[in-house]
Amino acid sequence: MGMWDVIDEAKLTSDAQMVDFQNIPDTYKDLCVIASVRDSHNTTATSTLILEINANYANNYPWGRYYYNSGSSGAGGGGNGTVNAPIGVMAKDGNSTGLFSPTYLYIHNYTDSSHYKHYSSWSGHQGAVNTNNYTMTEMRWGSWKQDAAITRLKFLSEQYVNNKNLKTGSWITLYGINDS
Amino acid sequence: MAAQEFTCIGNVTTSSSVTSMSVSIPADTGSHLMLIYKLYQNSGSTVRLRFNNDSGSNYASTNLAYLWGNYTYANNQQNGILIAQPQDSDSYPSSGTVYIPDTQTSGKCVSIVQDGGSGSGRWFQSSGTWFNTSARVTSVGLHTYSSSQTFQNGSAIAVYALGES
Repeated sequence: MGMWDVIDEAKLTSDAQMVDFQNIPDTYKDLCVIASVRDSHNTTATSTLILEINANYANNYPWGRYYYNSGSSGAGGGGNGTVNAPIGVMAKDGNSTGLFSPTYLYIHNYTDSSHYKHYSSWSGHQGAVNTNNYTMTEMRWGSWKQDAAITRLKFLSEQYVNNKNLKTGSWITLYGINDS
Repeated sequence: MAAQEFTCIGNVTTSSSVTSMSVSIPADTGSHLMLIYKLYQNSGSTVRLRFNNDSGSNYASTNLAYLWGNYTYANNQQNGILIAQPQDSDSYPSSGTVYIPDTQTSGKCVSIVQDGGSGSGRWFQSSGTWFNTSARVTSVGLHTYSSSQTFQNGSAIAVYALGES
């Protein structure tokens, strides 16, 4: 067993509503997700990659963020309890072809069954090639207000409610991290 | 699925003053890379991340930073992805991690970095893109802003890649 082991990964060969990692083993200390993602929604605005833990669709996900969007000043924000966790900015399909958004997510002590769970994430967005416009970088953090050990992570576009998908070519890898 | 893990594919520690440090990426390397760095510089300036030693103005990046009590924000198209801003002397180094999720698919050469510098709570968050839609990444390197800035003795980078174990 290595320090960072791949538990599961999904590289989409067609648009998909979600990436759903189930039956996550309890043998690691922390979880990490590294992703390269794009939304199938054909506009130039940004989307958000969202996470649902243990299929719990409920107001159990408080979160905060700090970000910079080109053309504006840096700003912060947050939510006191959304139905899933927003974890990163994501390019939509109206952006230049081939630009996917990198996302890094870290979940601490995911097997702890007596405390809420906490995560941190970092992400970026590039909307067009050969320009420094239409860019964004973002840091997020948040909690899942449940004590249960995490056994399932489901990733979707925030636009799934409008029948939008994760774009083909999106790639999400789940790592288990050992402490020794 | 075969067991996979991050393994170190190359590292550099400098014992003299240099303007760049890079690691080659073999063709059979997995598509996920992680670069970990510790940098000492002779004067304060922003460090560039470059792919395949491309020094053209072929990169865009966006950063969010805190330096000496001030928040700064910037988006740039320059000759590298701006990833860190170490200050002068050993007292103010930078250390951080760059994640490169996909090195092989066209137009997806993007990275995220979290950088923490000691002294007055400095930090630097960045993401960026290399505007090359055809090349596989064959090397990653860190470069100083100009030849008058150098990485000092003890600066180091290590590159890890996803691979089967």
